Amino acid sequence: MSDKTSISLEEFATLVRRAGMSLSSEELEHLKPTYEIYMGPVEAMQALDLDAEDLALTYIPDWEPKL
Amino acid sequence: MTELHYLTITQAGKLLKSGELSPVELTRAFLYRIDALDGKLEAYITVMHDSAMADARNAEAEILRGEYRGALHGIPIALKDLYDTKGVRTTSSSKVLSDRVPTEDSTATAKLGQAGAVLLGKLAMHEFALGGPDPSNGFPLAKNPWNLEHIPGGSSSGSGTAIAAGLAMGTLGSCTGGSIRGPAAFCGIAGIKATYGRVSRYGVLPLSWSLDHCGPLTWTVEDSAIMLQAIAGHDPKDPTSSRAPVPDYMSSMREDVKGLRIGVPRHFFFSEDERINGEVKTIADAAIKSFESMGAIIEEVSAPMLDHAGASQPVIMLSEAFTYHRNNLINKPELFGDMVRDRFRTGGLFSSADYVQAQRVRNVLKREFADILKRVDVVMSPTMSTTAPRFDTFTKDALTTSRTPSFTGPYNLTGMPAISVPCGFTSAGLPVGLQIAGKPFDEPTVFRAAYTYQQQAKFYETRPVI
Repeated sequence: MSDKTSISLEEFATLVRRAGMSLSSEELEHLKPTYEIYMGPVEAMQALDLDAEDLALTYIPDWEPKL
Repeated sequence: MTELHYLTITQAGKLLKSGELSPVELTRAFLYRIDALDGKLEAYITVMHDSAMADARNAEAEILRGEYRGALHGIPIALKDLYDTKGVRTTSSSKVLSDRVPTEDSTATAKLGQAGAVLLGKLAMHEFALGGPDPSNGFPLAKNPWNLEHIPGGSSSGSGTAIAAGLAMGTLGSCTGGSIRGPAAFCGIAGIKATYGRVSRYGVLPLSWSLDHCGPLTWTVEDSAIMLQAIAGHDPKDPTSSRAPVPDYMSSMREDVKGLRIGVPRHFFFSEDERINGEVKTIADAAIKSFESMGAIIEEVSAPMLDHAGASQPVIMLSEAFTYHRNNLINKPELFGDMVRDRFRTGGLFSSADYVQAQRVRNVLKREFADILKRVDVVMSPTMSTTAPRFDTFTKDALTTSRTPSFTGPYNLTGMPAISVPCGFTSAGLPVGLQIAGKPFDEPTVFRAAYTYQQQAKFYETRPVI
């Protein structure tokens, strides 16, 4: 599992802004630990080499005429 | 005779059908008990006294006319407050929706109505099916009937409390990562999440479209089968609804596991991870081993991708949840409780690459279980990695449950049917659940295994002292 389990407040603020949210510095400080819980497991998941594995969700246009 | 509020659906149904018990008498008993106890248990957000009595009188008249509809006719039930109910406030336990009154029933609500069930009311839940026991949102915080200082699980908190305390005979919960099986395990009752697509999600407020499931919580396995029978089946209003035929679940209610092949992924569910409660492991392990003496065959199986389910499931769930709630989170964040607001906001911070990788991990996990299920009929484990936490642990750390491994989330990822059935109590008197998962659409085998265990273990004979 990755060791990366924390993020600087500056980096975190960038992520929050990119998501369209405008949070005060107190709110950012408060929210950061919640995000950090997931950082290690997500890093480890991203490190997996899944080759050409497909998505679990498949887009089915359903354009064929109903007979 | 057993007190009316502690009759099972199966027992009450026989009495109602024969005319020995009146739906009016039964419903009145439940409303009386709710009025007496719900002040401290807080299972309900809305109690529907008048309409419940009207439904009961209608059921009574129909049964007297010989128009008996089936096993749920005249049975008092209640719904998690995210199932739409026409003309009845449906809040998802959130100030965001505090005045919302649907104009249409959810499909599950409508089906239960068609089956003749009597709707007692709408049940407490964690805000938007995620938030946790959060006093900041101003809605009731359901208590665990086995110990009021502990949570009943979530997010279908009131659905678990109501069954364990005898405040309803059957309830519906919803499940995105374990919100049916978790309360079932913590409250010492049965609860099943059927195969993804088996029960329509139409009219049920979404948390995560690709992970959400609907299902019942009841005192016994056979009662869960009765409830699922009523709500299962194709619904053209839900694009993910399956057209697979619905079997007769009650035919699975027989004690027979001879030759049943049981897989146990010990590397994950019984690992040395110190966050997993040792007593829970011991109790669930003994329950699984007891199947051997009943003629089942147990083998250890492996699904390596389980190690990443704890990342895949929350990334998918929170990303999809953020998408649904984004505008309200940005424009009126003050209406959300503290717990759910933090978790939803986190969902906006994962990258698209995180979401895509999570869905790829999900695909591998699904394939690993598909391979396992070629060799075994069901997979067993503890339902939860801990017992019900105390409320005050959330005061100290709102992320308490996020820090423990999820034993239920993997089956939301795979979409397999999974039930929790009581398998014992810890030394502190808190219930422990056994999780039994099966092949897609093979709810009958899951029910049969759970029923057989239930009849041998007889934990259904023990009720909480309230």
